Amino acid sequence: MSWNFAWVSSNSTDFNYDYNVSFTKDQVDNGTTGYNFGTQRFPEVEGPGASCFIKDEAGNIYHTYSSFGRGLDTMINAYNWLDIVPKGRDEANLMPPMAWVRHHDKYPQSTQQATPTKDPGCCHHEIQ
Amino acid sequence: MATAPAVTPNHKVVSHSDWLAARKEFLAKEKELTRMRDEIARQRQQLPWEKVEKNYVFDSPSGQVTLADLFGDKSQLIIYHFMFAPDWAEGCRGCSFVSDHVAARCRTSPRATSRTSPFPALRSRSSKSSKSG
Repeated sequence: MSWNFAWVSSNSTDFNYDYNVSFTKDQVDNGTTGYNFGTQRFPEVEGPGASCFIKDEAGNIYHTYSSFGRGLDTMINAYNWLDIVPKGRDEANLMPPMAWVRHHDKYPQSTQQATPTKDPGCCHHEIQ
Repeated sequence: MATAPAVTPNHKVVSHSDWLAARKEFLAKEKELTRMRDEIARQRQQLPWEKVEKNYVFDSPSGQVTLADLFGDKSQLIIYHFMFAPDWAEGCRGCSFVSDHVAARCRTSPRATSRTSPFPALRSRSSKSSKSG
């Protein structure tokens, strides 16, 4: 994929529950996911988020920051470029808005715009 | 030869001097946003921290690693929580898109010793299926 960062699995831990990005099926069904610091429902058992930590010289680790939903927008630089052209992100007629997004290795080779998929996928960019 | 898509009709078209006047007026708003973003970043750095009390142990291609291990020789760590439940055939497209924008080379920059190591956390939940809300 030409990605150059490490991956780990939180499968055997509570990590992603503790940091509010994984939810049980019951939570999804009951609308009690409490996504984004309790402000939102999330419709899937997995939600996007970023969390920051710092470690001191004694080895203590502190959670300093987390961000969810549209708070992650700024990490997607393509949107910053699209925001300076006349048509902007051009997602108004897409549902979900990120329907044009593909996995890293699944974009068409040509420069033609990809046909928006009807698969709702897992992205809920409409969540603010 | 491909035909360019139609542009929005009836958009206001003006002289260069009027274009420049409108742009400069808008520039003031952009400057306001830039200064606000700097101020928000400064305030973000002032937010309080909370101590991590659990000893999280993750699975990695090279075996088990702790949260502390993920720091490597750095003091700061960013984890991106990549959406990939164990019963999903593939990971989230949007998370793939986010990952496409990770500046992995920042780990090797001269300033990296005091900055961040990006590590997404790949989620899979097979052992958590019985966990209740």
